Amino acid sequence: MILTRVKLLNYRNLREASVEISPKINIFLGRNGQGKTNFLEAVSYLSLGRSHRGAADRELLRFGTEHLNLTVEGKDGQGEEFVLEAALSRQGQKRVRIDGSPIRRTADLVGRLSTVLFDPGEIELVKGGPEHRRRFLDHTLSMVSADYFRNLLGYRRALSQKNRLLKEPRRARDEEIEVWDAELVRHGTPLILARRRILPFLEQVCARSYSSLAPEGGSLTIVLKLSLGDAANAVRGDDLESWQDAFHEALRVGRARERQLGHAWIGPHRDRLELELRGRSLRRYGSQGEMRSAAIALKLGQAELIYERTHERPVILLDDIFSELDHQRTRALQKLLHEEHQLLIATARKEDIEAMQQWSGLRIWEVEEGRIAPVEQAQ
Amino acid sequence: MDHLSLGSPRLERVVKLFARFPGIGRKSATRMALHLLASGEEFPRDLSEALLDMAAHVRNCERCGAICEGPLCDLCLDPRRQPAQLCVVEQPTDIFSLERAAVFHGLYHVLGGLLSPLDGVEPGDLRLEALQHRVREEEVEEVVLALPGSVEGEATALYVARLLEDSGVQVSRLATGIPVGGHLDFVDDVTLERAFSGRRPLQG
Repeated sequence: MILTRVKLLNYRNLREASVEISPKINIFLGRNGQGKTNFLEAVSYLSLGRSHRGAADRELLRFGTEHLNLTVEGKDGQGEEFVLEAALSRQGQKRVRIDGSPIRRTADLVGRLSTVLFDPGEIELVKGGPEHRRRFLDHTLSMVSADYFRNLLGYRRALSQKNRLLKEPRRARDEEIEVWDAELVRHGTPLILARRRILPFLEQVCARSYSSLAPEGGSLTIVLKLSLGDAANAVRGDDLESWQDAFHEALRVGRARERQLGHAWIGPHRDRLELELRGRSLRRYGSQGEMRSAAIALKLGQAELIYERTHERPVILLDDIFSELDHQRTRALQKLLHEEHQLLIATARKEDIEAMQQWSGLRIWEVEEGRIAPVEQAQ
Repeated sequence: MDHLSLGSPRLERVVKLFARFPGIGRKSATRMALHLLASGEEFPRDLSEALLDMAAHVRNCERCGAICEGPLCDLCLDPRRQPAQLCVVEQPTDIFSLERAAVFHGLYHVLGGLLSPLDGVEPGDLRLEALQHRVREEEVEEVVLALPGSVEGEATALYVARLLEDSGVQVSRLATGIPVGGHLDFVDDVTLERAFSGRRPLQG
């Protein structure tokens, strides 16, 4: 899919803009703090229904204003036009429309506009704790499957109910814990199965991207470590019922331990995704360069997975990422992405985009003090 | 939020009371109070009388928990209702929806909520002992659980089903599935899966 226009009013420091987007490459040039990251965040807001930086809705309103509006217009892979709109008010009202029709829950927006965002913080995907990689998996799978997302929300709800109960383990009776366990199994087993199913594909595309990015070489492998323990070892294949039984069994065996700990510690919220290079943990033994390449490879894997599942190329948002990469990796990444995807790139340094100057479909914008203006191209 | 004085402690008192309604903020509460103030004497007097009258006479049915004015509700007193079927609902308003459709001819039982540790609701807060008592003492053959499809609704349904496991009555739940006139394209997998597992033979 591609975006054709982004319109916004009072988004963070951006006052008002209507930006006609090139189907190929769009570069937003500006010094730090001028608003180029905010622009990418605004686009990604309509992809996720919230700020990817975790900001509360009211923090997104420009200082001293009461309302903000966001609109993206675009075309999907079949050439069908779509319009997504969000309107937020300082009082906390939030209206989201798809093609002019209001939607009841923001969750219904997820999956309509697929974006993959690269930013310097992404290295945490490799360097950080397992929660970063779980979030990555959940986010990726939610974008390609509405069912995954629904189950994820149900699972999280049941999990907080159970955790609340386990906070006072002496008062929590087994009969009560069991009904929340049943909900964890009902919503959680499809999560486990979906993660298991995408793993081979994800590993394959990530490994391929890694080799083209990392001159140091070595092959990248991805291991999914389930939290179900021994119960899972007996299960063969992808049969839903066998996995449900294994999950139930793991919860039964782990009940006493969970009571002791005072929180739920068995289930997909504890699964671990581990990255290895040459058979060794990347997180522990990788160099800075290797970790950065692996983080980008994961994101490229996400883009490929979205394409494989939805037959739509996601829009790629690159936020100030080249400053972290050496020349060779920058070139490799730009080459990997630009053939198939629409790119929106925010950067402070002109030299990072030198190689792209010759490419067709390039449009450059200058972002200064919250204003976005096109830069005339010397042909 | 700033709490500007309204210039009258009496008005302020009313605003504070209105703001205790769920979903009513201070702004709406002020608007309601000012409306009352502007509408003469009759409306406020009627309103306060009606409120006192309601509080004094409206209560929950001793048997099923529905809203009524006597010890028992109209449905429980109606001899045409079939006592063999008992439909368990979350709250009294659910009875209105089911009665409007006129598809169920048995009796009801209101739980008064759903299990939710996050909101401090535990089994002791629901009318479960009363349910067990009715199942034991009345001629109930089937208990139909008509609880929401949310995480809390499902967990509560399972809890109730297990509670009644050894009672000898049949426990069923409302089928969830494809809305009448609905296209399969628009039905999510979870709903489809339940619609499938709840399928019935087609009588030709």
